[in-house]
Order: sequence, then C-alpha cells, then structure tokens
Amino acid sequence: MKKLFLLLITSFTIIFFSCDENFSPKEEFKDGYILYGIIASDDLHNSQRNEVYISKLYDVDGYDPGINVDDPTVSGANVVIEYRNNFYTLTQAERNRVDTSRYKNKLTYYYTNQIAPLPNNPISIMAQMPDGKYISSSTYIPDDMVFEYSYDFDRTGINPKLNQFLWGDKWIINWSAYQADYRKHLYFPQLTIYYEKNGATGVTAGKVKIPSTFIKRNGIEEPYFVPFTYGESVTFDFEAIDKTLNDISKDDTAKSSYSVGPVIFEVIEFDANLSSYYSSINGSLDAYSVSLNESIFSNINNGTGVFGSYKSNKRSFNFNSNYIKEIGYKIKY
Amino acid sequence: MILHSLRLFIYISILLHFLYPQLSYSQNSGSLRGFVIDAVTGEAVIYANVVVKGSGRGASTDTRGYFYLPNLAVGEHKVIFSYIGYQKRESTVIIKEDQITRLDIELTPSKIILEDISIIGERTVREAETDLGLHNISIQEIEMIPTGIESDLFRALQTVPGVSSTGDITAQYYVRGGGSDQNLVLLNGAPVYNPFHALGIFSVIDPEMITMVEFFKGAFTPNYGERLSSILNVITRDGNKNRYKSSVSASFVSAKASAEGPIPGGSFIATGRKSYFTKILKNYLNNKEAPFDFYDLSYKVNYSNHELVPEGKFIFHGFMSRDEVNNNDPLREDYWVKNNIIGLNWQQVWSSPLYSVMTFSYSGYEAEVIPNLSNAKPRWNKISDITNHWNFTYMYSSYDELHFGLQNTFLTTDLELENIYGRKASLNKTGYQMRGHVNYRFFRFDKVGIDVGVRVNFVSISERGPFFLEPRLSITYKPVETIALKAAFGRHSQEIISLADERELISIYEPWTIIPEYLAPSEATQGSLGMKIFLTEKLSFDTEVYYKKLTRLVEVNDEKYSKDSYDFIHVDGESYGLEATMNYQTLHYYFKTSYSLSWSFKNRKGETFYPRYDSRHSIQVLTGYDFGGGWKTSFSWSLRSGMPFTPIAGYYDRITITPDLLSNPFGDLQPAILWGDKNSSRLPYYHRLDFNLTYDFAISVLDFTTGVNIINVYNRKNLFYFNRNTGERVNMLPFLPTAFIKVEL
Repeated sequence: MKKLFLLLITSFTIIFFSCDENFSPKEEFKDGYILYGIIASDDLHNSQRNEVYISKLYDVDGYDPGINVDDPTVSGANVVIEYRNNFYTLTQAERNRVDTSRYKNKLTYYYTNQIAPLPNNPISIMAQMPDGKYISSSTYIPDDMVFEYSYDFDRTGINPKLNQFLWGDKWIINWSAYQADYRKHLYFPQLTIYYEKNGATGVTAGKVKIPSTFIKRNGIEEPYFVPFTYGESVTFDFEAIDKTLNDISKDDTAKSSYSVGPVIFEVIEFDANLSSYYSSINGSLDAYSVSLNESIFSNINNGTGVFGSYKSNKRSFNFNSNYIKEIGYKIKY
Repeated sequence: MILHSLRLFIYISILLHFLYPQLSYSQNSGSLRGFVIDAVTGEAVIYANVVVKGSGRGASTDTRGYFYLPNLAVGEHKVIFSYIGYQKRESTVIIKEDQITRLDIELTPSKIILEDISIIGERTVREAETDLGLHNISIQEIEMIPTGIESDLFRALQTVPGVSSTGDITAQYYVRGGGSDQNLVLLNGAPVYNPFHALGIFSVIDPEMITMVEFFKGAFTPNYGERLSSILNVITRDGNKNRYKSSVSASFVSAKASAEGPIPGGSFIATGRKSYFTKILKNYLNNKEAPFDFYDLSYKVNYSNHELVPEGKFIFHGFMSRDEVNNNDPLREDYWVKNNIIGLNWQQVWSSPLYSVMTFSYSGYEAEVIPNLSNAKPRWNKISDITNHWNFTYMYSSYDELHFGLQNTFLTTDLELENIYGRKASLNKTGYQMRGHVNYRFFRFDKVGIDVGVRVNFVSISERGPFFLEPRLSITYKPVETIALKAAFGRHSQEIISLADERELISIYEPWTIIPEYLAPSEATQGSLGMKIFLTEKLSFDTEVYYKKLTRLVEVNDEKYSKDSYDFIHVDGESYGLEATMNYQTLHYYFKTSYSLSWSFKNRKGETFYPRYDSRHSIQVLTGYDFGGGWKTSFSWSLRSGMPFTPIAGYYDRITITPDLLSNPFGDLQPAILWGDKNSSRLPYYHRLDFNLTYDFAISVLDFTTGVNIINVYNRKNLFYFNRNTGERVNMLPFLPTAFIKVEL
C-alpha cells in the first residue's frame, strides 16, 4: 500500500511538473470605429473651436497595445453636426502630435469654428466613414449656473485672516445648476492666483492653484486639490489660501518684487455623457479589489467613444489690499 | 408577530394531537434513548452507531449525541455502540413495557481505528436516511487537506464535488452554479455574514473549535432556508468535561490559544486567534502588500442542571472577529470588517419521545471602507440579525419522525455606498420574517425512507415577499443492502443579498442588504437524483445528478452611470450537472476522489452568459497515509476546466479627459482594450498538487504537533487573470512552503 501511495504521488508530480501552455485572452478580431467629439462652451456664450477625432479598432501581436505604430486615425470621413436646426460640415485638418512615441505622422481630426453653443441646447453628430458605414450620437450643452459664497469678498477683496469664530475656517462656494439632469454632471472647481515677479531679467508672469487644504502624509505637509465633485459645492481652507499666497515668495526676501493680480474661481461642468465617460475610465473601488474588465461608457451608435459637452464658468476676485500689503506684495489689478 | 408565532404553534399542536393515536406504543414493547459521549472529553459523539444485537434495529446519534430506539421488544437486550476512532462498547439493557429506558454511554477513543465496526455500522444504519446532497465534514478531513496558511473549513469545502472556487486567492465558494451569497453559514445556529479573514483568503472559523459540519448543497430539509444554494451548519465543541486543557500554536500568519475544561454542571471552551505577521499574504495578492490585522475569538459554555430543568441543556456561545487594513496614509484607503455573534440554545428531551431545540441568537456585522483622500469609494454596511428558532422532533414507535418549528427574524441592514462611477446609494432597511416548517420522515419501511415537508413563509422580510410555500421532498430506496437510490426536490427563496460584482476577482468585502423594494426576492427550484454503493466494506461510490432553476437573482447594475439608474437588476440562472465520489479507506490509508461535470448559465436582459464560477470539469483527489509513530502525510490534487472570462475584442486609442487637457483633448491618446462578449472565452485548465506532513510527539506533559505544507508542489503556473492595464499575466499561488507548530498542555 505504501508503494502504491508513493507511486501515485510521483506520477502526478512527473506528469504535471511545471507544465504550461499557450493561451490567448483575445477573440477573433473584427473592425470597429471610435469617435470622440467634445463640444466646448463658456458662460460668455462665445463661438468655440469644436473638434472631433475618429479612429479604428486595431490589433497587436501580444497584449501590449502600446507597441502599435500604425496610426488608426480615420481620414476622409464626412462629419456633420446638427445644432439648432443648422447643419455644420466639419473640416478635416492636421496638427503636430503632443506624443510622437507611437505615431510619427500628424494627427488628423475634424473641426468647426462656426458654432457658439448656448446653454441647455441639444446637439447631434453624424459621421459617414470611408467604407460607407455611419456612426452617430447626440448630447446636451450644460446650463448656466449661479454661485453663492459663505463670505462675499466682492467688495472687500479676499482676506483669509477673517474672524474664524464668525466665519469659520473655510471659504465655501456653492453653485446651483438648473438643467434637468444636473445630478448626472461632474464639476471640476479650481481657484487660481495670478501674479507677476519683477526680477533682474524683467517681469515674469505666474499662476498658482490654491489647494482645498493641506494634509500631512508621512510627516510631510502636502497640498490636496479636489479632483472633481458630484455635489455643487467646494471648500478652501483660509489657511490654505494664506499659505499658498505666502509660498509664492518662499525663500525670497524681496517680497515687494511680487505683484498679485486677480484670483479666478472656475468650475468646469461636464454634461451627463462626458461625466459618465470620465467616471467610467477613472473609477476604481479601492486599491485592493481586482476587476477583470471594465464597462466603459459609450454613447456612440454603431461604434465606441463619446460625444459630450462641457461648460466653463468663471468668477474673478481680488485680494484685500491691506492683506496683500501686510505680506509685502504689491497689488496688480 | 408573536401572535403569529403562537397561532402557528397551536396549529401544529392540534396536528400533533390528531396524529396522537399513532404515538401509542405497540403492545409488549418499549423504547430506549440516551446520549453517547466521549469518555475523555465528555463531549457528544456525533453520528455514533447504536445497534441492538440480534434485532436488526439500530439508530445513529444526532449532533447532540442523542439517540432514540422505539418499539423494542420487552426484555433484555445487548446494545452495541460504535464509531470511527472509538473502542466498540457493548451494554446490556432491560426494556420495560410502554416505558422509555434511558442509557447514556461513554465511548473511549482508540488510537487504532477499528475497521470492522465503522463501515458496517454506517451501512446498516445511515443509508436509509433521506440525506441526498448532505455532506458531513469531519475535523480530521479539514486537517488532512494541505493548506498554505491555516487549516481552513472553506478550503475543505472546495474539495466537495459541486463546489467550485474562482481561484487560490479566495476561500469564497460556489455551489452548483449558485452565487457566493447564496450560501448560508451557520455557527451554532446563528448566521455568519462575513466568514472570511483578509480579503477572503481564509475563513474566520477556527477548525479546532469545530465538532461537526453539515453541508447541504441542494434541496435541503425544510428546517433550513433563507438561501438558494447551500447551507453550512457548523457546530462547535462543548469543551472537555473531564479535565482542564490548553494549547497554543503558531503559523506563519497568526498565533492561536485555546482553553477548555469542566465547570459545575457543564464545560467551557474558548479559542482566540490573532495575526502577527501578514507579509506572507502578499503571495495571494500578486505581491501587493496590505497591512492586514485580524483576530477572532470564539467561546462556548454549556450547562445542565437536572434538578432545575430535567433533561435540559443550555448552551451559551459567542463569536467575534475583526479585520483591519490601516495604511496610515491619508492618500490610501483603510477598511475594517467585524462580526459579533451571541447565542443561547436550549436543548430539551421531554418525557414523551419529543425533543426540542430553541435557539436565540444575535448576529451583528459591520464593515466600512474609509477612502480618506484616495480615489477609493466609501462604503459602509451594518447588519443586525436577531433570530429565534423553535424546532421540535417527535419520534414515533414506527421509527417515523415528525419535525416542526418556527423561525422569527428581526433584520436591519444599513448600506451606504458609492459605486465605481462615483454614484452614491443609500439602502437602510428593516424587516421581520416569520417562517415555519413541518416535515414528516417515514422510516417505518425497511427499504424506503421518505422525508416530505414544507417551509412556510408567513411574513416576508422584503416588500415583495416570496411565494408562500416551499415544498421539500427527499426519498431513499434500498433495493439491496449495499445500494441506496435517492431523489430530492425543493424550492427555496432568498430575501437578503450581497452586492457581489462578478467583475471583481478580489473584493475587500461584499456588503449585504435586504432586497430593495423595486425587486422581487430570488427563487430556486432544484431537483436531484443519486445513488450510493458500497462496493466493498472499504470502498464506496456516490453519484448525483442535479438540475437547478434560478429566477430573479439580484446583481449589481454595472451600467449604472447616473444616480437615476437602479443599483441592482434581476437576472435568471440555470445549472445542471453530474457529481461522482469514490472513497477508499483502510487502517492507515485514505483515498478519496471526486469528479464533477456541470453547466451554469445566467440570463441578463436577454443575453445568456456563463457566470465566472462556471467550471465544466472538476476532479479532486485527496489521499493520506499514516506511517505510524506520529508521522502522517497527505496530498491533494485538483484539476478543473478554466473559468470563463471576457476576451479582448481589440484595441483602440482612448482620450483622457481632464480639465487641463480640454484645450487639446486628443493630445493624450492612450491605448485601451475593447472587451468582447461577456465571459465568452475560457481560461486554461487549472491543476495543483499540495502536500502536508505532520509529526506528533510529546515532551513531558506537553503534546507537540508540527508540520510542513507545500502549496503547488510542481509550481504549476495557473492563470488567474490578465492585468487589464498592463496586459501582464497574473498567476495564482506559486510553489509555497509553510510550517506550523502546536503545543497542547
């Protein structure tokens, strides 16, 4: 019995020792089209340059698509945008690529300058491919928004040295959106200081983003910027505003060589389609969960990709002049 | 609600009353009952064989060591008590007319396995039981299976045919095509909602606490419900009733201590386990280190006072566990999960051949993912489950049994979560559930056993309650002494679900909730046929075929991109298959092999696909040898066809939208995968050989057990998944040797 037992175990070990096999996680390749179109708009309702990029599905040897060097861009397509009962045929154009590590040729895209998107309007796209196949989509341009502040700095200028017992330690900015599907929208808020430095080589302009707060990580203080929000609110610690402004001239004793200009608060609002797309490519539950595949949002009929719109909403503020002078800076409005 | 319970109880009492004429004893006969206990520890000997010599009458003890033999001829009888690992004992008893004679017996453990008693006894007594789909798993079986880190009950389950897993990393199990949340884990009658440590790598139930495991993998008896696919009923040990005993042990991951001993009127046992070094777990996580910290604590006290409550026994038990990952980094997420169970059981043998078990339990579960300032999604889940069972068994002189009972459950589930796309959901639900069951077991026939019954849903816990009746039927037919043919049928419903996203190969935890009001509860209808053959006294063969129809299963809506979409949707499922097991056992050698052929499908919005745990072929081989002198070894080998996965349809260049890139949105084109049809391809075959060697020795008053385990002896590169971002192939566990030592006083 002992011999039988050992024979059995040895057999298993020999038969299966380090055996491995070829395996491919791919299915049979079929052609497909991808369209990306992003309609830009702002709260001034200006005409924008709106662009569309169309490409094809491709395959590579192995599993790293980064090795592909054959440009999958589709040129020669007939791309039409329908907006407020007008049809705009997009022009094919080329530009230099930012990244030339994979494709050496110029990037082919389609554009129009003729559309001044108005808030809360539908807009559609249809593209006929060189092989006759149609792909299409539609979206809605975000509506205007109204801002509210926990402290109105319009008259006094921004001064983070407020009485915290009265006003708290954060500047809270709320906004109201009125579009029917605004709860599906993503908002990207940011607060930016513009300044100039008068040095030996002349005047250099600069800008710095104010973080929402500073956090301690491994004993080191780091700025934390709100990446995006689904809610209609953002906060900035007064301490973070003060520290950011002071850090402009950190290690520089010539404080008076700095002139501080306006502070711009901007919220970029993605429409429902663009928000869903952004969420689906950036989402993860946590660092430990392992997801096998992903469900990437697409609103392109007969293809993949996204056709969406966004709107930039800006408000400008000045710093309180006394506060600026206390730091030693000059004012530049 | 209480009125409902009382009303049902009265109805059942009336039913019992009408049946009463059958309860009278035959003339010139009496009955025998009693308990069989371990002479060393004083604990119940479960499933021991009790045979009245020369009469052909026999019974087996239940989970409390209790047996009942009705309708014995008046006069003197010799009764033989036997069980594997115990010395056979013969006792003389005098049966008096119309009286129940009490006989409690102590069996002495034997170092030498008595081959001749166990299998024969099992054959004559147990085969007629209507137990299709039931597997009893012994602690020896659990310990025999080579393990990478800790002996694990759930790893042992995965060797049962019909039970599948999705990889080495997780102890999660899937039974006959059902999802992981369709398995109910009961610890001394109380549900355990999160039975896993460390991302599911192993179970929270310490095997050394276990005295008995019942595993139903389909068509379970009417006293069980609330899940569609399986019931795992774990009963922990009572503790040594004769002497105090303690032990400490250590593995690579955790240290363990236990203490047990007698108390006036009973005994106690307590075990605790605490992690101290979890770096080895990175082998399970593709070398990703996670600062796991966990503990579990289990205790049980039993007490009898025959002056206060004659023939009654009270058991107070508890269990708590907690897992944490604390990164101490504001840009990384933390999480914790905890269980807290307290229960009280009252077991009572009444003056008539009636016994009852009343169970009161609280099972609390809470878990949270704390994202801090990372991109992780916040999730929080809390469950409070207060349940009481009243279960009664009446044994007739004809050997028939009537089982009936009531179950009341007060359940609260709170769930706050944000899905992968950042959409928040809040589900806070409270419900009361009352279910009753009644089943009649015909054991009066020599060749046929029938268990027919129904589980009744009086009050549903979810808004759209399930069907009112869940019929159950189980039949056994023995055409000859060594062959048993079996059939079973049952309907089941489930009103509490876990939010398992099939795309997640590894999850921090799966939160539970009562089915939301916009969905109806899930249902399963299943049937199975089986045959058990004793080819020789050492060799037995089991086979089963089954079919299971699953309707209205609840799944995460993976296309929820907006707050307005539902979080969950209905899908339907179906599974069928064949399972076969062969057992061979001699004095020193054990060999068990099983084969499973199965198909599982799900249907979602008209699209049919294989669930991730569908495995067409599966073979398990478990063999062990006792060399003597304290040396034992075992091997386990498993092979199964690959899991389904969603293949790559092609690649495309994807834009990355951020506010900074909006001025040139096509400037950053990143290659991405376009996925094909869901789960339409298969991974390669999986196979793995594991090895275990243990050595028992004593130094003075200390008993030592030490050993080594080797996972994946021939270092098979079993594919786990391809990293969707890098294309990197990620394999399951590599060759992994570990060691352990245990000291008992």
